Amino acid sequence: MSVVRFPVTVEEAAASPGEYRAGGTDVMDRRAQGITPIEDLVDLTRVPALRAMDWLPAPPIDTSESPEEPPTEEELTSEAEAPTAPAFDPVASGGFTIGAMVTMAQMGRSEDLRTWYPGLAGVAGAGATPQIRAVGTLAGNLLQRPRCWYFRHPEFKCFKKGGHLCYSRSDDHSLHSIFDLGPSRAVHPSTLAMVLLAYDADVEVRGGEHRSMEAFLGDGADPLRENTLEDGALVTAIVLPPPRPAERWGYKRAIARRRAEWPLVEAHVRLELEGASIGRVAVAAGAVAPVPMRLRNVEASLRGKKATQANLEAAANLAATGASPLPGNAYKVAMLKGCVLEALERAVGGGS
Amino acid sequence: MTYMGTSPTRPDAAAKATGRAEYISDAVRPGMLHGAIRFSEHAHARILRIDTSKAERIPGVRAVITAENTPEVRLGFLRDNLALKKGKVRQFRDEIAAVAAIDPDIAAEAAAAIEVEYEPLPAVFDPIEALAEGAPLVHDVDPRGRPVTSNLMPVHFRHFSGDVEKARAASAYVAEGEWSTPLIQQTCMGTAGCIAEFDPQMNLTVWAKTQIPFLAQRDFNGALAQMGLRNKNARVIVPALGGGFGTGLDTHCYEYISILLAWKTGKPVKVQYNRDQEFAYLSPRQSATVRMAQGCDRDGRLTFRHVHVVQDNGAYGSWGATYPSVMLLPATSLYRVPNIYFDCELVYTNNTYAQAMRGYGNPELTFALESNLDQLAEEAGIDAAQLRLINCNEPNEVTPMGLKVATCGLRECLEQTAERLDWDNKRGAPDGTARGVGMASLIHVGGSGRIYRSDASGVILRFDDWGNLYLSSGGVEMGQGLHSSLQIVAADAIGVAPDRVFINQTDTSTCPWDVGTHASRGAFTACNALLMGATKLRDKVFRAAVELYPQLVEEALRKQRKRDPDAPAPSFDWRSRIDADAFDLREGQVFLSNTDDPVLRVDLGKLIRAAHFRDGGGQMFTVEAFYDPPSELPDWEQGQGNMSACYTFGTQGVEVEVDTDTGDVRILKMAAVLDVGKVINPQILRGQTIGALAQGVGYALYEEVKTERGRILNPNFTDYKIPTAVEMDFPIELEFVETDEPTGPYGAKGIGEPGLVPTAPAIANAIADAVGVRIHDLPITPEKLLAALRAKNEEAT
Ligand SMILES: Cc1cc2nc3c(=O)[nH]c(=O)nc-3n(C[C@H](O)[C@H](O)[C@H](O)COP(=O)(O)OP(=O)(O)OC[C@H]3O[C@@H](n4cnc5c(N)ncnc54)[C@H](O)[C@@H]3O)c2cc1C
Ligand code: SF4
Repeated sequence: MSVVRFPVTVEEAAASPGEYRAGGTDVMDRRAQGITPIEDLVDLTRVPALRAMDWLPAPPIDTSESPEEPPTEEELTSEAEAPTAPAFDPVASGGFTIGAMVTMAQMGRSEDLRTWYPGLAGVAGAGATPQIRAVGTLAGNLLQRPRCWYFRHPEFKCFKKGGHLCYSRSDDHSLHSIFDLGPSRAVHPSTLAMVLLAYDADVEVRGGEHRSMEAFLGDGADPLRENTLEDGALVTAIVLPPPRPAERWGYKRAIARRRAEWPLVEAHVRLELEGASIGRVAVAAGAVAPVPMRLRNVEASLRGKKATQANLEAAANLAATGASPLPGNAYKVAMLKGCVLEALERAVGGGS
Repeated sequence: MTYMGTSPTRPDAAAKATGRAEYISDAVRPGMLHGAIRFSEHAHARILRIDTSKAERIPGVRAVITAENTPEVRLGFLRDNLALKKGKVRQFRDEIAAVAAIDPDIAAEAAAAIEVEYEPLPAVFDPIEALAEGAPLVHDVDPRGRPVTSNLMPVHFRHFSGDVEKARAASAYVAEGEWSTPLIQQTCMGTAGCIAEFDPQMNLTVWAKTQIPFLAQRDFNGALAQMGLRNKNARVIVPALGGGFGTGLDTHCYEYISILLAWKTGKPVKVQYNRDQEFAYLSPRQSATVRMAQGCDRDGRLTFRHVHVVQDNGAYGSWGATYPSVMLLPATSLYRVPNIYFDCELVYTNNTYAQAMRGYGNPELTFALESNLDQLAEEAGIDAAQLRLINCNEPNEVTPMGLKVATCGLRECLEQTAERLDWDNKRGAPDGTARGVGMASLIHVGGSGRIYRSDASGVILRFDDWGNLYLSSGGVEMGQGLHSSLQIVAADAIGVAPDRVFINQTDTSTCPWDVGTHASRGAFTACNALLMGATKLRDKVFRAAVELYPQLVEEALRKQRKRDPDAPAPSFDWRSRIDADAFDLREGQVFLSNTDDPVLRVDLGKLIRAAHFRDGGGQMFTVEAFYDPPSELPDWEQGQGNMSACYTFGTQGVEVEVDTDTGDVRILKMAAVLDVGKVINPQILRGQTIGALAQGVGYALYEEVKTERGRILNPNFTDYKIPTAVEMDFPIELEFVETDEPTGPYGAKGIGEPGLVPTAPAIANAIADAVGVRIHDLPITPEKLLAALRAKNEEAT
């Protein structure tokens, strides 16, 4: 029999035995499919601390040289001359934190995210289906398990379930990875992980540790897990670096159905133009490897170059460098280049 | 006619919209137990041992059954399937044992606790391999125990007319190829289930999600006989159905299992599939491979058509194994072709066994035929729409199969589709975009399809004392709107308001015989029976009126005079006009035709009560009618016979845009023009057609049951993709051509299935027009498109 516990504090949650349940859209499916042992559940929906979304204070700066006079009583009471609080400048903040239990729909609606991190809000607010977005959470999205149908079928004991073979390699791998990073060819299912990788975000684990997205996701070599989170560890939030107002973004997914589906390939781009040239740029791709990937060679080839179509194409053509597709998924190589190019074009064109 | 061609609120709308309609998943009987089935874990294996002892010891379990402790119950029209398998399993979902328990969880736990020991056998999953010498035999003996030597099913459908080889040699242009279609699920929103209950006399009632209540009754009575319950009866009651799409054309193992469990326990037993189980354990539409060649002369006239079909039937035969009976329609009769070869091989494999689905073989064959026709047009350098028009079927023709086509609007369908797509400007336009247009047509049975000796529908009509009409039909309302059609036709034909027409729940104990709701026949046959009954019922009313109308009018006149002494008398001598033929009945009022004097209108209820309570012997107003369409049971070996009373035609056109980087196909627009004979209810016709188009879009682009050596890999809506509202968000132009079919009720033809038939080839043809590659196997996924585009580019460089 399985017990469901409903802790209300982070500490209680972390101390409760069992698997965490956020929106439950993945974990409950896996239990019903008979591929996850039926252990106790720790439901996180009643932990208010995990639902916060806020700006972080800027790192302390030295103010000793120009100490400000405290306002006089008169100043404080005079209606006409009440000092307006200095306008809050997100750019000068310490970044933005999103609680683990914030839903995708909330992220999509958040004014802060829409204004300052439109590339994240736009993708979070459009993924999966409205029903899933309403309950599916940030941490649940990052930690959902892969979609490989052998993994999702109780009767195939593959590497990912502690077995000794990968069925997809010899059989149907049409939806699988084209980068051979480890025994499993299942692709990482999380779109938000890919986007956050492009945002250089950190994952905050209970206890206060911050781990870069890259370190959190790991190298994709261990078939038993899709990240480096220790068993039982609780993700409490994601921390975004301060926003960059000049930034443009582009996202493109290739998908077998127009909506309500994990992508065949997806790519996310953030870039800044300096005149006609490309300055800062981050390019990430998903659904092509056991972890989302930063395409550093694409980024390097773009940096400092003019944002011409030829340059974008040349860069996009590098997207699949190092790929070793299987016979049934070679189509993803062209698709990856196509998605990266489209995402770059959208970013240069103003963002969508 | 007042109601034909209008859309009064359908009678089931309010109950369904408010959640009050009772589907099988809602149904409960007092003292009911819940059944769970233990399915095979192998595609092909000998059963060595079944140990049920652990399951039996679980508290709450009331019975555990296997083939060992129950009578053998055979099913399927080939009698090749057993409700509980004995000796060996032939597919993953084979039923080995079952449990009845006090709740569904205990039942499931007990089913899982049954231990089965197997000896795995070599299995075969590919129909071509299954036909090879030395392939493992799915069935080693036939139902009578005689040894079998091949996996070919003992079912034959053929047609040969003219001289195909000679015609091929003489053709100016020939195109050929091979096309294949996947296993797909019917994806009814209401999942399968049933309740079986014996009364103290051991008569059985089954609440079944069926489209064939009367054939199910026959099947269940057969099972009762096999169980030793001779001279007992099975009553079948059909709850509200959340879609049928062919899944209710056969009776199923789970139904017999609930009967056996009810018999063992003496309690009602329900077996209810959830969505995952529906995907895993209910028969899908089979996959088929069609080799097709067609030729034409210099002027584009078709010279021959050569068709060979291989159909993977899975481990057992269902009615779905007779798909070729309907494939024969397009193969022999879509467009005019003089020389035809049609042959098929139906093959047993260790895949999940398949069953009927909307269109019944027609979409499979039409996908190949219409794709191949576009290729031929290209070979011949003739515009694809033109080629179709050159060979268009016409009214009053007899096709090579012997189909007697009286009305045919195909020419108009083709022309209208081309116009709505702006075909002349868009087809083949080298506009630098990856946009294209394509079209495809259909022929389907429009006046039922005779595959049994009887193809009939009965109807019983009864007026109660208040002039309400009770209509009993054996036809099944599964969401398609049959009851609305009956209501509309009854209202016009009998003369009562639609909301005074009450339609009985389908129940074999109260409704008259009907062969079943399939082959797009429901409205056609039931409304024809209704029209026959309407004449009888009106006649009965008018005969009573001859005697009773005068006194009722006199009484009304007396009352009128009392109220208003100056009221004018009727303007003519109504008494002298009284005659059974002179009466009319409209909106529940009986009157002499051609008068509108309100005082001369008698309320139908009043008249009926007067007849009922008449001194010296009252009367009831009940009639029955039975309609069997004027069609023939074809000779399947020859592929000859006029299987339907009339034929539905139509054309669909699609405009698509392909993203050549991602293989994404976007439908920009669809046009569907259908020859429906006559529109009964425009709203339902639109709904029915758009629903079919959506299924067609799914078939073309998204849907496929993925299997891995017989195991189903995507048994859920997350991994099995049907189109959602988002994918269907494009303009759909619907047009209905009214050809006024003489055999149809008020001129209407059956339109339940056809909307789905030509969608996939129309999309495939549009994609070929857009990007120059043709995908031969459905669904047309981005993977396949990108691979084909790459191959094309490599060829070019
Ligand atoms: C039709 C459909 C399409 C979809 N398409 C996409 C898509 O394109 N891209 C995409 O990214 N996703 C997609 N999804 C997945 C969807 O976004 C996820 O199901 C959802 O984000 C998971 O969130 P959840 O809160 O329900 O997770 P849960 O099921 O509650 O949890 C998932 C996992 O995370 C663990 N977990 C949750 N919270 C924490 C925490 N704070 N600390 C540690 N562990 C935790 C749980 O233990 C569990 O193992 C799709 C889903 C559907 C149904
Ligand atoms: S890809 Fe991974 S999850 Fe899929 S079968 Fe191989 S090892 Fe298992």
